[in-house]
Amino acid sequence: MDIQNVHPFIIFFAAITTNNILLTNFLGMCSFLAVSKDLKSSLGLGAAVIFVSTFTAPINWLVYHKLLVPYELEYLQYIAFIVVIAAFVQIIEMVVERVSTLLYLTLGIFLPLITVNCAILGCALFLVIRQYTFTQSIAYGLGAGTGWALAIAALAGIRARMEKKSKVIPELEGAGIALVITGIIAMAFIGFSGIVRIN
Amino acid sequence: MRPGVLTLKGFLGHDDRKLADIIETDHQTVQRLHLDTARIVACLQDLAERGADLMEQEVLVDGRYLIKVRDDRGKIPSPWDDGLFEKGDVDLVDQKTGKKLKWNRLTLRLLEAHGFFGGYGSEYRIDPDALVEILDPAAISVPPEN
Amino acid sequence: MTPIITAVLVLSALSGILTLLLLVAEFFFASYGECTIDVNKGEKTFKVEGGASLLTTLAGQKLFLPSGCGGRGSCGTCKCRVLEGGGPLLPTEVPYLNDEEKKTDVRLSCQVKVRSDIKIEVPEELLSIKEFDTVIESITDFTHDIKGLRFKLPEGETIRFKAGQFANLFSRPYDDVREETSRAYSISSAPSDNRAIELVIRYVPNGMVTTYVFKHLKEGDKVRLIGPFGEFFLRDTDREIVCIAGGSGLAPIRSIILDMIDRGISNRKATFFFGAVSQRDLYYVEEFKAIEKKHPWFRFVPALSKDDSDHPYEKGIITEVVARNYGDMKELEAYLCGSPGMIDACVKVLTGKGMPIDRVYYDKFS
Repeated sequence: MDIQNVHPFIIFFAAITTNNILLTNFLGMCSFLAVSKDLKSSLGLGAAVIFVSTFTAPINWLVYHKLLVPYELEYLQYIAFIVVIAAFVQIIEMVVERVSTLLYLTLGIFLPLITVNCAILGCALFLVIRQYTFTQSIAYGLGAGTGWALAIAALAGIRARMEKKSKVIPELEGAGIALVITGIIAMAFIGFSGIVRIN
Repeated sequence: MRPGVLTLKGFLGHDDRKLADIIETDHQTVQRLHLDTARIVACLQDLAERGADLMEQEVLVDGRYLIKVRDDRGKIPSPWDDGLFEKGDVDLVDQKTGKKLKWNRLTLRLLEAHGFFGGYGSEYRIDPDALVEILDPAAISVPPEN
Repeated sequence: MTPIITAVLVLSALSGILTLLLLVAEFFFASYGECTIDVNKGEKTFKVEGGASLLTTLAGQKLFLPSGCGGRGSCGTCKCRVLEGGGPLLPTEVPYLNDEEKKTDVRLSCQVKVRSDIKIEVPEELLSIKEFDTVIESITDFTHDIKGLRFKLPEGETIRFKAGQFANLFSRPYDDVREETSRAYSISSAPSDNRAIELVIRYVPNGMVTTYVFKHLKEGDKVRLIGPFGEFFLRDTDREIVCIAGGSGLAPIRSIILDMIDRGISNRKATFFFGAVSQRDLYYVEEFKAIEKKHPWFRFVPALSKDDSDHPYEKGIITEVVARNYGDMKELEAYLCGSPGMIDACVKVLTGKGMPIDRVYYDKFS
């Protein structure tokens, strides 16, 4: 199907359900596994990821289509996207710290962590591969971030519940059981397929 | 580990080997001699306690060990970052063999927790081969299986 | 060739623009301009560049607040009162403050950011802590392993301290030691002698700083000292005093006794027991004997544990000598300075003779 005609909202919705960047593409796993131990931090990190992905996706779209393509430098996308993401995160960190220390403590400390989150880079690379338009890339950025945040919130909630109720065998404690749970959630999300179809 | 960082002379003596190699070689010696690290440490601590003197004078222990325990203020950090340990070197001279041993709380900790006996040439090296000559082998060996 | 150049140029341009944006953002958001820190209602004011934590900023102005974790918010030691300009209380501070402290505006200085003019209150003693670039006036060999050093303070500077406190001496890099290190030594000079600092230092084999002092310092050398620190000083009561020391522990006791003379305190009986092995370990003997002669309230009692030569001093281990000189010690105060083992042993003897533990004072050098 001709991707340009797909409504941005569908892209947004798909990014959360059928093309969840974490549960379908398995990107952004390391901070996902590490931070999901604590529900509060997970929500903070999730919010930060949404913020960063929503803004870096369209910015990277512009960098790709207005700078790299005209000069036939598409292969530089990896470097260019990383540099843009890093700079963006730095600037936002400064702004947040200045504007509200409280917000900085909840959200700001996670920002540097996100620079290396491959989900953010993945977001930028996908919108290139799937040839999204500018508006679609905004929708995708927002959706991918929300999907990631949803996944980490779900895992954190489950792990918090398990803390008290389940007895996990020692060999699987920690990352082991987290990955198993993630796999199960991913399978559950497959149930969404068919609702929307994007590539 | 190097001289001048945590301690004046460092823990490696004139040994150029990698830390892992130093520990591994000594580990093999310990296994060959059937020694038990925990018991080595316990034996040395016991000697230090019995050789301690309020005025830091030399004490003859068990009729053969001349022990002098220094009582210095302050603590040194462990290179493995696992705590602060009281200063105060213990100097032991075994009158029977003439061999000498020098240790303190920190070097015992490194031995016990990390299997580190000290690099060759270090004043604070606790050489396993020397230990069996100086100390009672029965007191520092792996206890026999019952 | 051209594609490579274009690639390099485009990437450089992109990086350049982003760097520019970062610098602009930093200029607008991260710099806070000049701020004034008012300490203890104007007793001291600092004009500083804002943006850093209160702890770091004050240290930069040579006002050293105690800190156990280096400013990471994990120890709660760096407290001070922030009267104005500290911003809202942060969640990272809450675990370390009790209700009383929250009511009196106590904050963790490592978490408070200096963004604007700020008014704070710190314990008075902290204002006395200064850094001194001293010059060694003299080095004296007291015994085979103890030296006395007299450090002259820079022109116009004085040190304000309580007799019994200590200073930190910083060694410079030497031989294999690449960085400066510091150790604490009690001040042996009297507080009235405030243009200099005297220290008594005992050589520790393989000690990083004592090796520096013994092998690399000579008269005329420059040495950095910071102080005074410490909770060891003469308490303001009328009680009889027992001082017990060994080795270099004589230093703070000497300072205390000299200070008592300077301040004309003559109504308190003071006995100084100095534990040593033999005569060659004694020093400042003439000085203390002279004080004994001139001041009837003072008695100097060296105790030699292993000296069979003909000497006028008490024989025995210091703990035994102290024990046989006193009956009930319920009403006395004790000031101890020496090795950890000696202090423990003395505490046992003193409390065994009825002295309440909270009246046994000793230097923990913490």
